[in-house]
Amino acid sequence: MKKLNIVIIDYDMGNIRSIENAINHVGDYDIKITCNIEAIKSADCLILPGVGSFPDAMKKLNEKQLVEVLSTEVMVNLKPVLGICLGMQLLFESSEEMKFERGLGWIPGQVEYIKASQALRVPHIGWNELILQKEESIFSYLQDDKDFYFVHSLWVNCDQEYKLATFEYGVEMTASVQRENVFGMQFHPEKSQKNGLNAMKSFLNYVGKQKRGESNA
Amino acid sequence: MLKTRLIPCIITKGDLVVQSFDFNKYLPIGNVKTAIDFFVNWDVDEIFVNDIDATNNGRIPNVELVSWAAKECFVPLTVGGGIKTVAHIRSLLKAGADKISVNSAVLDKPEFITECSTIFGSQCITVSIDSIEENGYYKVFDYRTKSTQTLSVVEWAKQVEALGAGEILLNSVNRDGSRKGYDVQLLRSVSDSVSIPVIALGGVGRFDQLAAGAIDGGCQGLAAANIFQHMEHSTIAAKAQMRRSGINVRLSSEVKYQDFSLDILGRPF
Repeated sequence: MKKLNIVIIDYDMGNIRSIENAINHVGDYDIKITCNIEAIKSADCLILPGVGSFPDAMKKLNEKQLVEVLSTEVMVNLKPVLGICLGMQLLFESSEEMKFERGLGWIPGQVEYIKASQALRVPHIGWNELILQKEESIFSYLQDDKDFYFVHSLWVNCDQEYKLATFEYGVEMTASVQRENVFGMQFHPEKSQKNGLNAMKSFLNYVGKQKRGESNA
Repeated sequence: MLKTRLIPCIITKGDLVVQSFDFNKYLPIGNVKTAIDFFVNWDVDEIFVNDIDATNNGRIPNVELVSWAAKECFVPLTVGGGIKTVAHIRSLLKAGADKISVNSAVLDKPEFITECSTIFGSQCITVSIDSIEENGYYKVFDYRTKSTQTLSVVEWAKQVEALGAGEILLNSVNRDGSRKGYDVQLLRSVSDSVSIPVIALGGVGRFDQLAAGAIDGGCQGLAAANIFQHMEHSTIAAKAQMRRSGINVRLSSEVKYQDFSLDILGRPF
């Protein structure tokens, strides 16, 4: 069978090599790191990474004229997409990071600052435990150890129906989301050792099943 | 719940891993790749690699090393040493570093913190602060000139937070390599003054000293360097001990432990 064709969107925002390394570690895939529109159109799935600030990321996506092609692929052609960290935040309607800025708007919700205190330091950096919100999801493989690595100052405030997992940091915050073919992970799967690699694999298995036309777990 | 992080620090002079004592005496350990390789497979929460000679030698950060490490390192990697420009940071992040650590560059130019955090987000900018205690006061230490600054550590910590630092790595010159444990008073004074995470470093000589950094020092990350770097040297340490007992042994290694005492396990300090 033909290998899954994965495009990691390269828009000068961060840790793309680590994501490529993690995907290579979990299976045999055809990975492209690019912002080429034809490559995006022919991909089986897209990965939207991101380290940096929300306004800067939207500016880069606009400059590279990626917003329209990505929206068509994801919202019209229903291509699976995974946003990681800032990449997950970009999936939502808007963010208050630095200034109000519109996002891609593929899932309803807003990105807000975590309110800092000495008990609740911001950025939220380190390993935190996922609290699963769905009976069946790409995280169904998780056993006792549900720790993942987070590093972020803002969180996604969205409707419960989109939450696959949350974490506790003073209050419960969104760790991972799904709306149909659109997935997001606030943590870094590529930096969360075994659990993270399995999350990546689980998402790619979902993509594989989609492609073969099987029903999704 | 957020877990307290355990962070092994790999202190290097170029490609050579060293143990550091008083910011003054250094013991070569081995190759940096071997050290990283050793840590990635175990339960570490993050790895910190700091090239302490980079700034003084005018070296730029070792992007090739980061690319190599990122291939098999599926835990966060923080890199420091010689970082002075936005371009340095961009290349390190692109190669696979998750956070970068700055020290002397921001002593000279504090606004560099703001520049970096605006571009990359404060979450990837760690400011490393070296503290020295003099007459009961904690002052900032400039490792390039080995000189004590007039700036107090607490004031500097508050300043770097306001400028946009995402995290502070707080090291103690007095405790470096001492095995006396963390200076929890120092740690507490800083962790009580800021609301960004603080990582403790300096002085851990026994694993039972780690917890105090979180419990008494109020830190979110517990780092240590020398204590994690004894395995590589075990045969050399064994030979040093044999030699001290008067046995005629072959010593071909660069490392002879002549200027060091040996502890009960025969480890140098």
